[in-house]
Amino acid sequence: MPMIRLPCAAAPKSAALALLFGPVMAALLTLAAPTLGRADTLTVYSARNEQLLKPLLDRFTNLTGTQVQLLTANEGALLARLNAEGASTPADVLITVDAGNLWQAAQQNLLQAVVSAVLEKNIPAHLRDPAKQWFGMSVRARTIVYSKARVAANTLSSYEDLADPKWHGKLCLRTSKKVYNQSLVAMMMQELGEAKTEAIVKGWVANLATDVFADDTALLKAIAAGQCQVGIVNTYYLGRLLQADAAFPVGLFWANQATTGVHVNVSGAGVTRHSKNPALAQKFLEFLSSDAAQKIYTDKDLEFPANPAVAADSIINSWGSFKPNPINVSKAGELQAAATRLMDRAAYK
Amino acid sequence: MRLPPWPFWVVLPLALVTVTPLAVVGVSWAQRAPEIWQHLRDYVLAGVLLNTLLLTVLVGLGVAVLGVSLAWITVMCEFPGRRWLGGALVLPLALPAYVLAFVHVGLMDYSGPVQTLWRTATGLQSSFPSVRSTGGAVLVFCLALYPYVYLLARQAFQTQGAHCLQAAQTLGLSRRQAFWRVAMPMARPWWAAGVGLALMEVLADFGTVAIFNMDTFTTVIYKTWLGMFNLAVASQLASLLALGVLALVWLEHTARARRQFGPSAKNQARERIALTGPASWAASAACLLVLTAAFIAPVLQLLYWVMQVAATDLDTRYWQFVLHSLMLSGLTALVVLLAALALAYAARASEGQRGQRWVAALVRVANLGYALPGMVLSVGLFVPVAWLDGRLLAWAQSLGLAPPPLLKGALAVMVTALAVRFVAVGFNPIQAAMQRITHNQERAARSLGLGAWQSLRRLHVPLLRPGLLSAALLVFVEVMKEMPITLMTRPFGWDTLAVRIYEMTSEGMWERAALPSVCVVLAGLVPIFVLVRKSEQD
Amino acid sequence: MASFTPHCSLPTAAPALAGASGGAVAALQMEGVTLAYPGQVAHVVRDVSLQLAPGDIACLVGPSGCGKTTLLRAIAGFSPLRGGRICIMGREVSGAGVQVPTEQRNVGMVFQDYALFPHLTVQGNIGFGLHGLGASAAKTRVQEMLRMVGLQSLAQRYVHELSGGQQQRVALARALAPKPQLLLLDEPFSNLDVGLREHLAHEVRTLLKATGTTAVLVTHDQQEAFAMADYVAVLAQGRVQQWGTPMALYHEPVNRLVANFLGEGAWIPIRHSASGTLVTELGSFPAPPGSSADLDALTQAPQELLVRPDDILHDDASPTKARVTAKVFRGANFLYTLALPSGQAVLSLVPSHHDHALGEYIGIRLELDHRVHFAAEPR
Repeated sequence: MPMIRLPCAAAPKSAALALLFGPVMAALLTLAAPTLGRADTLTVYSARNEQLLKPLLDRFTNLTGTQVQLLTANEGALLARLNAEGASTPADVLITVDAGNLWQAAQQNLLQAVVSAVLEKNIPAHLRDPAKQWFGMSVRARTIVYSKARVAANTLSSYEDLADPKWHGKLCLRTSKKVYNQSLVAMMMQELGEAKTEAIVKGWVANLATDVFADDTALLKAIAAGQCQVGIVNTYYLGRLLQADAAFPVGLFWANQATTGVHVNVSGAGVTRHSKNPALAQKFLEFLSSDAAQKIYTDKDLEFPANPAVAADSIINSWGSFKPNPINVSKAGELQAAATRLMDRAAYK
Repeated sequence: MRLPPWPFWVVLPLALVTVTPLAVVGVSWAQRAPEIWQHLRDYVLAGVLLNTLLLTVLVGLGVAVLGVSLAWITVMCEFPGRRWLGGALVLPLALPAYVLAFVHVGLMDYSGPVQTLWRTATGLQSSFPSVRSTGGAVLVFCLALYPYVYLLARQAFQTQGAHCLQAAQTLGLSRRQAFWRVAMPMARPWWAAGVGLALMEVLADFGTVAIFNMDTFTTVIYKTWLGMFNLAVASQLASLLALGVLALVWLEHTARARRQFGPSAKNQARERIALTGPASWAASAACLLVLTAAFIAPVLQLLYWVMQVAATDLDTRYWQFVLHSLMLSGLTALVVLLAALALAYAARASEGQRGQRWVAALVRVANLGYALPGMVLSVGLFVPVAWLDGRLLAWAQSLGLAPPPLLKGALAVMVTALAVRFVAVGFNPIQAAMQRITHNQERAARSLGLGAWQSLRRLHVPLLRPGLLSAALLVFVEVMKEMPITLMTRPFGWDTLAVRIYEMTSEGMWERAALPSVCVVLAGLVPIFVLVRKSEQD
Repeated sequence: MASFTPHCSLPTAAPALAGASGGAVAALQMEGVTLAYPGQVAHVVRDVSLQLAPGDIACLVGPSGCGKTTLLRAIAGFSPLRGGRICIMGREVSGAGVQVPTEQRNVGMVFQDYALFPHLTVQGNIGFGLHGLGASAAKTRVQEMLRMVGLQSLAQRYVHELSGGQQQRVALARALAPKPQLLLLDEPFSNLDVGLREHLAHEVRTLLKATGTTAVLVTHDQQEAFAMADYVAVLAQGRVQQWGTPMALYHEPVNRLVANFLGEGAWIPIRHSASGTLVTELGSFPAPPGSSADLDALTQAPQELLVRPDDILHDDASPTKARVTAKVFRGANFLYTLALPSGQAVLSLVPSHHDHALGEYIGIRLELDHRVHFAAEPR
């Protein structure tokens, strides 16, 4: 059957469009590919919020002239990404918000050892990796909070005590899925052994006033509203609420002062194994541990500086000094998987 | 051996891209972790499966009831405010489910304003049912996801035509009976597709269930990955989830196998049933109630929070977030449009030809990106991309060059991951619109000398324009709301509004999450407005 | 309290009655029915009155937009009346203050597009209205209907797997299965090809007569109307122009509208004489008794005579010759358009073995059995 050819005046125009479109798309899509190997660029993978880090990065840039590229995501994604990228990763520094993931990163050979007298002087030994692969930069204490109106501080003592039946229906906890509780339980396992810890966690679950909370702030508000009377939170959440309202009716109690001390965790950093600028990365870590940076690092978020020479914020100071748990925080990482399983067994959601 | 005709070669690469993360996840079975599996079997899986099943069934029922009933009364009945309510009920599509979740929890929890007001006003203890429970999660999912069913059911009822219902009436059925025995079954492909979309969202969701602290299959995946440091087992679980989703899809497909569902009959004159008296006020009230709970109240709460923090938080960087979100959504919408059009056209062109079943199967495979949770999908894509990049780098270095890594961290990876996830969202409206083009029209074009490419350009695309527009708008809104993939695959400095929301909510700073949330909603309103106007005109 | 359903008695003197053959109750009775489109003021049909006896088949014909489908839908109960009332089997179903819902009227309907349920099989469709019967009784009835329409082998098929004619039969079976008091058909054959149409029309009529179903059919195709119906109503300009048997309408139309709508023909001017004859170009005929010819002698209004194609016979012996100006082959006949000596055009239906060429002169003779004439229309 004879084909009738239609005028194809439109063809050249569409061909031109395709030719133009292709390269533009390609250019656009390869946009933002990271620059690698430039001597004046540092690449940081961070689980810590960008808005908390930015002042530090800006200051570092001001001091050294180094540009800093930042990528934030949650720890699991960062570790998976580092693993996938392997030797060609652009990352120089890894920052996380807990010791467990730093430990895990070290386990997966994603970090390299840093020998630095500055770091060893600034950061206490129990807040950094014995194998020198990572260093805690700020300390977050996880301790007991209570309703000032309904609980007398002298009835509180320890985390274990909260499993006592006298607290039945009065306890509020955050979810076991959050790494802070996983590390708390991990440390308890280190101190007390697995069986006893499991009994304690079961006791906590039995004392719950309501379903576990997804975050500490809601937990604190629940205590203030009277839904429960005691709970366990990271101190800076209470600090934030006190900053907003000095009359917030929840008090802080340092747990386990007579025994093992308050559970602490760190937000820390390490240099990646395949960093292209290890010297610069080390410089960055040293900068983070310095007095000025520590102040910036911790003040905004009301954490405790890792560097003992740096004073903490006034609100924090108003809670008085406390005895922290001296066990190396890397234990939290070692036992984290086991802690998660333990919490599953105890039905702690 | 003769090569298959061209549709096969178009569909194959697209299917391969989608299969890659699934394959990577599947490969994880090579790693054995019997202790973790033992632990999961003993303590976790039973409860989680039950929970997930419960959530799925209840949300499925909820969105079906809500979406279909609202669609029915706004299409078939007349009551005060019907016109604007009919369009406004689509608005919750602009609100991500996780935003709705934290707003509702914030509003209705023990320490929230509602219960606090109650306690101060009445002096009683408030024993409201806990909002942070399965019930609360089901409610929030229903409110956030019913628009999928609503939109599609509306389309169904609008094109059903009045004659089938009138025929049922002549056969002795009252209007209500006619609804159940004729209108609903005839609309089944539409509302079933809507329920399917909603359920896949629920199964893959992480943000919302995290706020409610529910234990679903997806949360176990993340707990195994992040808590027990075992990506391999997490991937194995994800592959099981994907299998479950596939089984669901296959089930729906076979149940539908032989029945076809009538041509469009929207031009049949239809008189709206005018509701009178209490019925009409009840209808208005029902629509208004749903709209308030799903959209108006949350937005007002968000605006209230925004006013508290706007002074401190709103800075020039926000424009960057907004810009990035818009660019990402637009780019992904474009890519999905092209991919979905290619798939739909190839599927159409292969009808009646050799190898049709292969092409149909590959098209189905290409649409499977929905089955995996976002973060797992990202890892699944990232691994081969990183490997490829490593190979390229090594090859380049062997040539003495030292180029920067080309692929990882480039926008392409993020857009690809998002496109793989959302290609089904774009494919469905385009395929539906493709069905309206008759085979005779295609044959007429061929008889006038148009080849496959020309036919696409000059016959199909102009006729498909409404479907293409719907597809682009839907994908745009979805990408604006998407979080897990964006978080994981984004290039440096490429923060979007969703990323910002995540950063705030992960720290419990809900008030500060309100500002980016409001921006997401506003950005989503424009395409939704266009969508609604279009569906009113049809 | 039992609801009061008004009863309709047969009016003693009703206009244009037909078919009330001694039965006590009319199957369908419409009195002064006036309808309008919803939301509009202007009436589509005005003052329609007709009666149909049980077992009869009626047909409403008329040009598009004349309101016949609207009337059908009013009988079914889909639209309310603006005036008048409708009674089915003696019970008032539509009227002032009464609007019985469709599902309670026991009126079956076959739609133009069949409106079959795509989610059910043929069997499911046919059995759809049988909810009053028990399961086995329903099954029997469905089998019976399938046999009646000859679709036993297709019982398990879905609608889209059937051809147009098969779908139409399913629609019919479905409507008839619950033994409705009245069956309404809205252009049921318009979607089928012509050959099938005639065949099916005949089949449907046979089926309806066999089951004794009263039916009202709406169509714009006069052939269909003539083939199926016992009584035909021509609807035009919003009114029933004439209601009667097809023969009566064709040969004795009451006005030009009806005459023009049904069948072909030509109008020849009458030059009459005063002695009661009609004189035309084609001959003289005695005027019908009581015709207005005498009156027109007074009013001087010109009249025209209706000449159907079957009234003009081909007669070679006739002195009147006419020239062939057009011809249409119709298989058994030719339809010739002929020009009379005066230039007047007439139509003639001639057996097709008389094949004449264009421009030929052939002899014709007028054999008029029915003399129908009306006032000439102003040119």
